[in-house]
Amino acid sequence: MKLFLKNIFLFCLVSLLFGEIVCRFSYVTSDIPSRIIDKNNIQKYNPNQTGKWIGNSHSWHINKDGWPGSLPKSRKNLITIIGDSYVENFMNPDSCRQSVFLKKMLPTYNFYEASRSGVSFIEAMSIASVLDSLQPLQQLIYIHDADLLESVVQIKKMPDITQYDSENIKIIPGILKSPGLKKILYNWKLIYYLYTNYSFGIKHKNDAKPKKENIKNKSLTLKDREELKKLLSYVNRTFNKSNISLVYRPNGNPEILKLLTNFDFKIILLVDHKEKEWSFEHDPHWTCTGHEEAAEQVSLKLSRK
Amino acid sequence: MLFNSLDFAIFLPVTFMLYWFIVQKNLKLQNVLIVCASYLFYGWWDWRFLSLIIFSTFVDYTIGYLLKQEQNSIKRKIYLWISITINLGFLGFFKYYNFFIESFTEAFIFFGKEIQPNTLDIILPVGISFYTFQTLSYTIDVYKRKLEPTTDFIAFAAFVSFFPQLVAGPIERATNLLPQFYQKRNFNYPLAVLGLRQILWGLFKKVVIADNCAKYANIIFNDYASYDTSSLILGALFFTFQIYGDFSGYSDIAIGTSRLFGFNLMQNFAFPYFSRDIAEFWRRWHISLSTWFRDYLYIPLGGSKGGTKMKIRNTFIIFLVSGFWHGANWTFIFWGFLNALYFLPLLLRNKNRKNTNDVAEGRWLPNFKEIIQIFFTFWLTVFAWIFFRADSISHAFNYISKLLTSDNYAKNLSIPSELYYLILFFLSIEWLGRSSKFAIERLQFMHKTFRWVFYLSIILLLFKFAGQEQEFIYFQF
Repeated sequence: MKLFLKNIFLFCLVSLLFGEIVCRFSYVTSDIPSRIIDKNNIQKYNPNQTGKWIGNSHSWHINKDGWPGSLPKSRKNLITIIGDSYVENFMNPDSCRQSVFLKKMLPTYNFYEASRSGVSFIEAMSIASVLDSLQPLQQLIYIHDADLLESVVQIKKMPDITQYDSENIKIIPGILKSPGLKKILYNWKLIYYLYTNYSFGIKHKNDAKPKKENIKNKSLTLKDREELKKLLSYVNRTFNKSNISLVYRPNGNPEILKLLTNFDFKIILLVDHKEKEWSFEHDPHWTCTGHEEAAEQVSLKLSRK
Repeated sequence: MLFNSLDFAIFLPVTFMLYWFIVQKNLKLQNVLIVCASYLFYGWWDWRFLSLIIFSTFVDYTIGYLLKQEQNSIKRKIYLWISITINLGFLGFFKYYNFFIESFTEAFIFFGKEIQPNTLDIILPVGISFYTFQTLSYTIDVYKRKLEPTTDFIAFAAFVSFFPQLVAGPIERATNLLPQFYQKRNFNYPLAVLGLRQILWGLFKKVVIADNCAKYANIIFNDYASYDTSSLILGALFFTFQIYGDFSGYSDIAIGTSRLFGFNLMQNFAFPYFSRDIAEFWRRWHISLSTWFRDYLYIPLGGSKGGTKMKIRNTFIIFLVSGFWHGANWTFIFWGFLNALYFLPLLLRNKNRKNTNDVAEGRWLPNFKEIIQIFFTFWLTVFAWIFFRADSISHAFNYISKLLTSDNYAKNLSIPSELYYLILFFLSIEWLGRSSKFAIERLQFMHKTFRWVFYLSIILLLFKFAGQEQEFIYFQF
């Protein structure tokens, strides 16, 4: 038995080493940038990082301000773009960023992106508030239903993202959850690959396309509606939203959209005309085509203003 | 719990450790652990159906005991029939009730009389066909006095529920498996290593070959009307490899897992796609079921000893019952019928036992005659699998008729070339290992470095080509 266990242990060790080498050379997982929390309690990335996307198809990089993508050459006629993983857009090359498409469509403006996956609506508002110092003409916040619902502790407590506590009327900044463990996980490529592909109950590979956009596209509960009202009135009281427009991803919940309109939010509602596929096959995030289509609709709205 | 799931990847080492480190000194406790682990393994799907296994265990244990006590042949026969009725009653109810009701309804409609069918929403308990036949073999062997009935209830419960082969076989005979529960099991290093090797190969067959072939077989069979002839041929071919990889892969994992616990199960597949005739194919495909039917149905019916009429009758009975065993659908019955048609000419010309050795024995490659024989037999089975895979008889015939007609507007499915390479690699390894119990059994004679590189390559392929976790086809039977 001792020999058996010894050989099993040795084989596992060799397998781990072999697997790690294979994973690194074949880029089966994407590099993940490390995060920090800045003095404004905003989670962003450590500046000046670079990494590769799955399959080494393209690289991503974090600029010196700690946001993905490049900074604008000039800050005149500035428009900011704030959002979550859709704007962060690690899955596409930099040429498919909202800022790049919008700059091509509206060359007289400059675009500054500030995005990070998991950004909630309330955190996006906080980021916008910080970015006001750049004196932008417009601030575009790309959101969807889940970003609003996830903004309220009383709807769903999510300690790792910034949320609004409606009972204590304050913003609770997100914390970096198990940063040490995540650092190990992200750097140990084999384990990260196994975690993302074979973790319990989660089957990413070959799954049908996740219906993230439609998950919340159903009637709100009374509690959700009340909590969202509290959130929006808090935002109205606390933040300057005169230059803010919400860019709402397609198929938003009509009830939420109505609430936002009632609270005087300017909304640019994106419409997926289904002529072109916006998302990846197994990922709800937008492809280059999706980004271009979205940017086109946004630029049309902006040019009319 | 699926063999190809993370649940099992945790369950197996935990059970293994408990078995060899905690209860290894006490045979009774080893058996108790096996029973508990097996019930947990089975209950993972649906704990409610555990009651069926437990009830079946009590019934057959008691009948075995009564058969031992009773000398009166009529009473013994009654006990035997009680066991058969209960076991087949469960099987009939859960598996065939709706089929019979629907078939009767259709028959009445055919004769112009409408009746209101009373079908039930019945869930088929996983593996019921397998453990029912296993317990039946015990009662029949005890009745025939081939086996001494057990007095050890725990050993008997372990025999009925032994988790590696509980849900999809091999269907073990009590004469082979039950005595192994009476013997003290000590850890056997070569046996355990052999077991792990067989598990690895079984996983490769299931996860890499079967699941990847399934993807394309399903696409083509589900939308056959849109595809051209070459795609439809590929669909049948992919299903041929899917069913072999799926079922023989399961058997390999089951046998390998049993070896880790010190048990030897019977071989269930012996490289059937290298058979030179259909009779040889049936000696090499699902051996535990074929021999079960041979011993408990074909031989009691008179086997091939009687006249031509009896031979024909018995051949059709065994193949039709075998088809029906697979599921409550006319497609399986037709598949059995087709195989009976394939088999009969060999039987009637006394050529059914012509090829009892391994193909190309002592040679690397087959000769021209063997190539033709293998090719011909293989395509006969591919053709029969169309009926096995189809949803209905009409689906199968439509598939075949679409296959035989050319359609310029039909789609041609693009298949990734990796799949062809994988099948080629798989067939090459199977060919090289065809005289062993499983394809990579003889790897032990290779240098350690080569062995480890081979294992790592297989593991790599497992991860690279693992798709969505898929159930084993034979679970539904």
